[in-house]
Amino acid sequence: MKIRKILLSLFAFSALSFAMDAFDIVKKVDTRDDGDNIISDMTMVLIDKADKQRVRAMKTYTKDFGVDTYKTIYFLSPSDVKNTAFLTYDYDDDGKDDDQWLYLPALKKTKRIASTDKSGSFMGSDFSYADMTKPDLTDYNYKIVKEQKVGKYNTWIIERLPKTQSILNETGYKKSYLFVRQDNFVVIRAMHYLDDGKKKYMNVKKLEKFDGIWIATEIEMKTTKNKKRLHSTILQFSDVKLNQNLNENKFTVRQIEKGI
Amino acid sequence: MRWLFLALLTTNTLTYANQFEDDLGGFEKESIAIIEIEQIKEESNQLKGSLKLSSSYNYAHNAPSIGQTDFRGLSRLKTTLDLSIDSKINDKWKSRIEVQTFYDAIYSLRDNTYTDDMIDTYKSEFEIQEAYILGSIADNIDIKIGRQIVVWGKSDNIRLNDVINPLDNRELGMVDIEDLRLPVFMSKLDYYSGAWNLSAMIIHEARVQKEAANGSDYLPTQIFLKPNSIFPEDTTPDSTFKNTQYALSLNGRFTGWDLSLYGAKVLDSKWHFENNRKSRTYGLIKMLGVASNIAVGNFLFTSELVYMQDSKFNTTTDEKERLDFLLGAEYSGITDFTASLELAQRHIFDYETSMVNAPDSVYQDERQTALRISYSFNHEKGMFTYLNTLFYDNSNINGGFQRVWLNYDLNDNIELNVGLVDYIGGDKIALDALSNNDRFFADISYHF
Repeated sequence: MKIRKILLSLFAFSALSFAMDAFDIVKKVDTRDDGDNIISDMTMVLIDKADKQRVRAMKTYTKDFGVDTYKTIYFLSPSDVKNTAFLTYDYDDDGKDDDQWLYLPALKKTKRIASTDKSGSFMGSDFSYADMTKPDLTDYNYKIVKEQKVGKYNTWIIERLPKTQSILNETGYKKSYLFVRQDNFVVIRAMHYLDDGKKKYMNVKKLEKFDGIWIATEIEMKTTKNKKRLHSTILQFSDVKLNQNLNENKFTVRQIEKGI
Repeated sequence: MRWLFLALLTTNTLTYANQFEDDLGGFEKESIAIIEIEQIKEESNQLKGSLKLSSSYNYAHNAPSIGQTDFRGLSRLKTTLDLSIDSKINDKWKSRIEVQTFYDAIYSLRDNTYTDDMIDTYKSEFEIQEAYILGSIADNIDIKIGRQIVVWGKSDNIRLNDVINPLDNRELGMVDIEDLRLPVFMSKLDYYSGAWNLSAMIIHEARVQKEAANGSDYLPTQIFLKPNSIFPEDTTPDSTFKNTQYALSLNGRFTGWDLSLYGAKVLDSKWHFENNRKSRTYGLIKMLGVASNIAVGNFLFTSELVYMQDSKFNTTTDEKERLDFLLGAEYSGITDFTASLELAQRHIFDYETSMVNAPDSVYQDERQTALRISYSFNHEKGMFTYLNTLFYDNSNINGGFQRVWLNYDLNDNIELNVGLVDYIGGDKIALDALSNNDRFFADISYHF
């Protein structure tokens, strides 16, 4: 009888019945209005395990062209990378690789970047390129693990597993837990498991509402191994402007070569 | 049995649950207090620059004859200051001016027999680098006037179509890539339509390469000069209407691939004797080229083709035509790691056997390979790079060099660069003569 009780409580932990299923929730996360035609200043603080900090300042422009997203990032500091600019066409179509160009002012050259590997570090940070783009929902299996309060907000903790080895290779994450706030469908925390025993913790430290749209304006990503912090990155967004008049010309090689 | 199964299941599930709860604890661990972040905004006038101290140590030279320059040991103690101002005049117009100056103290500190040419070439310099104004005269037309750099071609390591700017060839394999191309004064007009860009240039300034000092370890002219003969200084053609250069390119950027077509009448990158070998100068050549990039997964494939006319040589009076092509591949599928390999073939039409002799030392068909491997680490604080470039004639190695270096950011402003260049000898006399130039180098830069 005792064992039955234990088992029942364990099953209750791993397979709670919820009003919405996991896929419904991640679909709501995916389709949530996260803004369009956005201009923002981005500050990236890279912190090593000795707490030594490096700071990068950038200006970003983002626009959704239907299902495709175009983005340009201009480096403002440090001095040696100033005026470097990155242009990405992120296509929704799985069969189409993203187009990426990098303007290197020191070489006066725009270089096409060919890489479907999104597990690499985004500009030396703890965020990977996969973290900076929206995943294809159908590439994963989802399961609600439990509900938990984070601060004063109720969240669903959703387990996300890649369906194929190639998706795992592409992102580097063999398993993730996403903490979705129940009141607004924003992922406010995530825990990612990497192949080499490392774990990454994403934590939204500041969430703000602009024109009725929730935007994470301070995010921390921490890489750990054996419970020790190896490195972390804090991304801060400021001067966030939504629904700006951004035309296609903002997202061209011509523009990244000319600068802001 | 049933009890055993239940016990195992219970243990596993408990472990899993405990592990998960334990992992969640990672969120609660200490958060690092970030330093006060100064918000950096774009400004209408931005001054930036760098101060670099660089040194090199030659370890493979032989002892010199009496009265000759001793190239062994410490060969560089150079301080370089680079300053640039980018100004935003209004929403449509911008300007840039960049100056660079250097002083190499080794030429004052070492008790050595440096020639005047060496001192002129390597001891100190002040130069205006880029200086231009850039603006839009219509929604789809840009104009850029002034000293500037225009990079043609898709290859990263071998130059075929990249003919617009002359190069700093004073120390082969030692010049920083950002300082390699020399800006020239031109008027450039760009027209944009959809994925296409048509670019037209009139190059007003006849600027030529910076070559190594006569008699230095990078230009040991004694290998091909007759005893007591004089190697004349190279002369830059006058920047007259007659020497005006023209260039036109059409560039398309599409989903997964890029294409560029080029045509130009520009100064040759190599000199020829004239006036009965009493002077050296650079002639005008005509070229037509095409270059393309194709991205496939983690591979970037590159191809280039260029046809050139009017190339002058010293071992024949005829002007020659050339056809060069290049194939390359770059792989970026492993995190933090990039590798590229490029192969180029150069063919001279109506080749004459005398052309193998110095100072031309060219073969009818010559190949060049370039292998580059880069690995970044410690969150891009450090970058390790290996570059190997070799020239071949059939199966014979004519010479080349390999370079390995480590670039490391000590902080946001200070960068350290240490490495080694190994010059590889071969059948080509001009390259073989550099084979003892091997050296270590170390630089430290402060960026502001």
